[in-house]
Amino acid sequence: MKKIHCLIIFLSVAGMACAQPAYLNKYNSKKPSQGDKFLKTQWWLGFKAGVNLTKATSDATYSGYSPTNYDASLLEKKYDSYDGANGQAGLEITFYHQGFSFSFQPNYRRQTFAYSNAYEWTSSEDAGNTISLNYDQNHKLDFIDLPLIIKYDILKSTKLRPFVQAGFFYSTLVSALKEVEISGEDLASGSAGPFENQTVIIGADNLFIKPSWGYLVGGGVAYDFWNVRLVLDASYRIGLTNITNAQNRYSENQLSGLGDAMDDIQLDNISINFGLLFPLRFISSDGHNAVR
Amino acid sequence: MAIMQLDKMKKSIIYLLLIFTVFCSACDTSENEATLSESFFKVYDNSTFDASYIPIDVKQTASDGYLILSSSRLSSTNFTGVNLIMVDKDGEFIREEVLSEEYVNPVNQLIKINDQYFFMAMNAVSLQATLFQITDSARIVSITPLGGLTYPMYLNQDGQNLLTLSYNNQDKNSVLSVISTEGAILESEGYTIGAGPDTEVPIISHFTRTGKQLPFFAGKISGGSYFFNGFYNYTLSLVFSNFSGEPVGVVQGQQDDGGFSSGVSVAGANFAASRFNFGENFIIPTVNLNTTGITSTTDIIGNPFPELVPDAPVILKLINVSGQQVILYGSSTKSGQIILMAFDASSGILNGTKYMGSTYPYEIAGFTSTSDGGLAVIGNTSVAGRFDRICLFKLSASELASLAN
Repeated sequence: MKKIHCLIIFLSVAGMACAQPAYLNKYNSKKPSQGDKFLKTQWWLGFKAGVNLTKATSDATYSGYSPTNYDASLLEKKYDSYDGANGQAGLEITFYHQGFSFSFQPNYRRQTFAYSNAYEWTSSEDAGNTISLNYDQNHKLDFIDLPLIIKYDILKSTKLRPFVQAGFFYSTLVSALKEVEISGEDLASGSAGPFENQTVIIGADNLFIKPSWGYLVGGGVAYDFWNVRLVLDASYRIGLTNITNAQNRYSENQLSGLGDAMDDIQLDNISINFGLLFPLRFISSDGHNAVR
Repeated sequence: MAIMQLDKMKKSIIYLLLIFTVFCSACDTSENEATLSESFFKVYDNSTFDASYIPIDVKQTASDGYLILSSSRLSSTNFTGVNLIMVDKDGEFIREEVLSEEYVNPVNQLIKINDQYFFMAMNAVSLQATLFQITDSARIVSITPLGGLTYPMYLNQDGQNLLTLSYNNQDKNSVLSVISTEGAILESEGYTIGAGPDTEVPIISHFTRTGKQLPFFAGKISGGSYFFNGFYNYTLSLVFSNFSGEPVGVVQGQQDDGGFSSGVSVAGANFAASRFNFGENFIIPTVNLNTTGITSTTDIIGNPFPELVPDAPVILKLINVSGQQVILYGSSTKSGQIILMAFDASSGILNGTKYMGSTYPYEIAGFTSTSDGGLAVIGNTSVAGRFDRICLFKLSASELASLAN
């Protein structure tokens, strides 16, 4: 599956690269000036930061509970999609050449996802003796993220340059936290309303694997003014790795007590970034105007 | 010139993409796989508010699944009912066999002889000990009343036969018997618990679960006599017997306040054991017992384990881990966890400990070696801090090896 994804991306981006604009096929009899060469090539370096939203997708479900008198489907987790914004910040190093940009954007990012389990126990003799419990499980994962991206400028000769982008990312997990909030309703004890119980917070590094990867597609717009470039972009990142450490699925004592076992999970993510880039090449005779 | 530049650029892009592809291939996460049956944890939850389960023992079946012998609270009596649970190799529940309330109080252990499974329980009316043979899918094959044996307390394997410990409340005797798998009594001997009406109170409280659960067990010294841990002469004692009237030897406890909580013969009179004394617990990985005289458990020092619950239940077995014999103790801690302690069988040195369970309390009931070199541990947990349910921990061979070595 991973190889198929690689092949699709390889072919699509290679196709994009080879699909040359018509004007490039025309013979240009004019000898290019030094400035023209500069205009076609540039290095950019700058900072990027932004927000992201995450959706966890379960490929296979697991539970610490095995029901003896009710359907196992009742144990399936309910995932919250794109709930709770988080951030990322990092550098952008981009090489631009004739409308194409090859960009390396290392960043530190936090992604969160959440799911909940619900359980209910009812007396066979007195239906009023019922207790229901909800376990809201939030996960905070910090990654060092290493994306490699190719951008293509749709408009090249304007100050406002919309572009499309696609690429790969490789991430390594730095740390992970799991927070479990327990709430419920205990009618058997005479309670008339819901209660909130303790919150359990545990280090969850061992529940997840370190490396993960995926690909991203998106677009954005760049605006040049003075000697800098402002970039606003958005990407949809599709994780291709099961981030759950399968070998440690049941190893965490605190979670086993709650009947929790991590599903096989892939993370999809929407990232919106704002960047400020500085050109690294200048034409000295033009008063240090940046080459674009 | 422009065409040359374009060609260069195309090549650069294709090279770059090739590097990307190799880069992504290098991000290989295929090793992130685990065979579920090797290591898992399961709680067998029942959504009935009033349900309450008491695990007794576990055995692995020929299909690598598990048979769980358990008991459950009954609303009509102090005795507990009999439940058999079958789970698959991944620990998923398959079926439960709930026996008629005619049969109560299943005893430790669940025995496997030649792919046949046996356990012992009590007839709720006649109080007669009853032997059950079951299939590996938890279905009853035969029910055999054991004539003359009442109040069953413990079942063990004796070669192709079975060794039972029971209580005769007419004669006030602890009774040790060897029976065949068909239920025929081959040998039997009774030992007085002492005269007077109060002597049997702890035994009856044990049966009705209104008092302390007492550590009854029985076994055979390798190449020698039999032994049982039960009431003899007013005290909970380890009694050595050759079925010839008086005991061969006795290690006395302190009425029901002290005595052995587990014991197994490692080599002849060399035992691995544990003892309790007025709430304290001592682990004794190696001790040479006097099997032909009268001694006292308080003379055996042992390693104190204050982290165990008072008068802790202890499961003790000799198991083979990676070709080496290991003395494995299992017990319950004050912090509500199950603890496994592995001692070297030859030196008696503690090689490792492992704690299992957290958040809600856990108590051990039994464990068994598995065909993949791992260990299955059966216990009790209070789901949501309220409901007594059975839990099963499966340790992989590597997890067990890291504990034992």
